[in-house]
Amino acid sequence: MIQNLRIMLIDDSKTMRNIQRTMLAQMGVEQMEEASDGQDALSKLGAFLPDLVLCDWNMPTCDGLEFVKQARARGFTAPIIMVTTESEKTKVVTAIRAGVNNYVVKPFTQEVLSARITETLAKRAAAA
Amino acid sequence: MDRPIQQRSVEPFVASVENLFRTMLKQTVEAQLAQPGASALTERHVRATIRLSGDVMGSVTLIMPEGPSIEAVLKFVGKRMPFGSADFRDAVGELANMIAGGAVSRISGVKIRIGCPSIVMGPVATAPAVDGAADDGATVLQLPFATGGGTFLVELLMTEIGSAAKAA
Repeated sequence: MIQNLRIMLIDDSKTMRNIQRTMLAQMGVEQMEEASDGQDALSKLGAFLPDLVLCDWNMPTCDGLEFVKQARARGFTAPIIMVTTESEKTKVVTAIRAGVNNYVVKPFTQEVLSARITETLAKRAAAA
Repeated sequence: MDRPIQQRSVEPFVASVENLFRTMLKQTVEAQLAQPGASALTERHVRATIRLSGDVMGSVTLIMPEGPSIEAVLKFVGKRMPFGSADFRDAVGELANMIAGGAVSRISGVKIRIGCPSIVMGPVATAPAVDGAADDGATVLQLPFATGGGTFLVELLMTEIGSAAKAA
């Protein structure tokens, strides 16, 4: 199921985008788009139409929370998983209120990322 | 009375480093005895500094000599990167970010915000001055870690801001 998804990776760190891209490729995902901050992501949403977004929280230009607010305000409904450090976990409630569907805490393994995506999709399917 | 913030932070930082290396680098690290004083590396190395704010002022700096840093980045990202390249610096910054983020969440009783990493290539680099911390007489605490590829350091410079200072 995961392998058919179109996934957008939003992170100001090229390293983290590369790591996530590698993990997702090993899960069989082929269709991925990258954005270096929230603004970049907003400009690419319409053309790429992702089924799922992995979004870093702490970015210098347009952070993850701002991206989520603006994306939801524009009618973007696909699941968004926030990628956070442990120090940002307390902000998760704020993020969920803004429209985040799930979160994954750095550092994480490929197995954890896969489980979070599966869980998020299952919740979405159950709610539909 | 609580121990000073730097002493209380040793175990959280050790746990965070061990967790990061175990989870994303598939490598074990061995924490060695913490000691006061800033490092004075003369060999080529990279420093990634994260500024701390909130209830604690100061910084945490990941300091890796060339050999251990190249190996750590290789295991972290999955490809070898030239020492000092933009991608290499980004990767070391992300390692420092995860170490700081993992550690501060384990330090009880204080709220600490972490900034974005700044990277400096050594040996010309010196430990950055951090507003507030040095003024209060805090000294750098070195946490050495041994890996198969050599030793690296995490340096802490932290001062807890008192309630009077926070109210001012």
